[in-house]
Amino acid sequence: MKVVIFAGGKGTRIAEESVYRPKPLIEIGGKPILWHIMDWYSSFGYNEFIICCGYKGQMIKQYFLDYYTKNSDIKVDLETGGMRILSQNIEPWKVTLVNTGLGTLTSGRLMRVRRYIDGDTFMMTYGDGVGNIDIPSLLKQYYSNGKFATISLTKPEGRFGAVQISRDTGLVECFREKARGDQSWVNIGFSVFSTEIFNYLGDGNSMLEDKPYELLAKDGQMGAYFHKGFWSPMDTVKDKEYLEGLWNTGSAPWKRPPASTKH
Amino acid sequence: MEVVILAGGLPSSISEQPDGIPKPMAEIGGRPLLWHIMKSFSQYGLTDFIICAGYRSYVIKQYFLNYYVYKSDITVDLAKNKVTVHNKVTEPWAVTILDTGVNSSTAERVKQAAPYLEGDDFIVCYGDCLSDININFLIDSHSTDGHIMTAAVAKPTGRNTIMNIVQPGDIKGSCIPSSDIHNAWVNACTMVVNKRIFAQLEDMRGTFETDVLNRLAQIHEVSAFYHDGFWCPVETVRDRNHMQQLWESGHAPWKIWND
Repeated sequence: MKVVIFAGGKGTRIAEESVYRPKPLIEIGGKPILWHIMDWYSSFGYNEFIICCGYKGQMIKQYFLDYYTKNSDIKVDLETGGMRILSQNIEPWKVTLVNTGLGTLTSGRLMRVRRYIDGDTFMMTYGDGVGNIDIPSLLKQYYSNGKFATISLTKPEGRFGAVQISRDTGLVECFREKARGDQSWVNIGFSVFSTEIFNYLGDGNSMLEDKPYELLAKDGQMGAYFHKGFWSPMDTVKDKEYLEGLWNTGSAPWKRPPASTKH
Repeated sequence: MEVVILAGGLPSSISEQPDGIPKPMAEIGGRPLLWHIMKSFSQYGLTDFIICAGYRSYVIKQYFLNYYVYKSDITVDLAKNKVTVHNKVTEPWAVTILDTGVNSSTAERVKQAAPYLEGDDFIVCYGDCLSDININFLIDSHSTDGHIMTAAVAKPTGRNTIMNIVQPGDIKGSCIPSSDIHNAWVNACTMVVNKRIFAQLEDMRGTFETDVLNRLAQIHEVSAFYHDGFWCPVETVRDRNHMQQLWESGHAPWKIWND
């Protein structure tokens, strides 16, 4: 099953970083966030990706074109220009990179990758959010819903720490860092679609999340998967630093479990 | 006829990259300045380019080496290191990229292009300047005049206003350059040149647009082609942003091609 990843937007909220590179290439622990997302899917055996490129898309292409040599031990004969691979430990990924335009909206981007989707079901997520979404359980939900689309929802961590104050004494009893539950459910990608969704995209001039989702919901074709684990977008430099910090602990929630090694 | 593009200079403030990219690689509408320049020449049937690179020439080489895959949809099989190209989207251009040195002058760069020129005449232009100069008219004018060089000249552009000063301390007003100045012309970064120029360049270390041009002027071998239309050097972030706005408006004057 193919996994479509949206990676074409400009990422204006993280402009400090995205001036130099497209947002999906912004790194956490020395690897682009896009790699982290792909590795998560890969840990469940999904290794075929379709990347919707746009803003600075050629950098994303270059990243994957160079991947093999960058991640192998090599010996270069400068005189002949020949190269020998001494050892390699490369992900078994097939990555299709599609130019979907600079200012194209998400439903237009999806339309432009249709030709690379085979089968009647595919997955989709955004190239700027990581989480430990249980993909098999998401798929199970999709199939049991029997709808054209199932999207993952979560309650993101609150922006502010909550404080509990004693009624009797008026003193602070405890802090809760970044409380959940004070937020509503938000769409985080990690979606599963039937190819029927292509009948809902119109002329491709809208955000997927606007008109197409609205129409799907109206037709009773929109299912939800409630994700209670970790999820974080990387919208700002602060988010990046937060994710970087988690990664450096060695037990980032979206990190591939050690048992599931590469093939 | 080949188009020699001078693209070797150091980066200027235009580069947003912390480590600097060659100025001609600064992007407008997601494509390097250099591509825009070449695309407009190709509309006149000129598709043989010689790029005189210098500073970070490998960035320019890499762009053209990978042009084919950048513009097409591709699948990379990471483990097999195999690239499949799905749809061919490219340009029918032949692009020669020369490493003409980091600190060479523009005259020295043009000299190094000599072995790669086939005809008698060729074009020299700057990799950091956009215009809608009619290249056919420029070439015609060059053939008629028969001088070694025909340089396109235009009214000054940019943000500077011209002060009308009668005597020191008495400014009569200011005007924007294009509206009210009749005698000032500047080099509009595009020239047609005959191969006879190389005899003049032998001992020449200076810049193409001043030293070479002055020497040719002394021997009455340079004529001017007056260009009234659009032209703009793209030297600063401000210039770049202005070009980007023009591009996004859909009315970029140098965009003489259809998508």
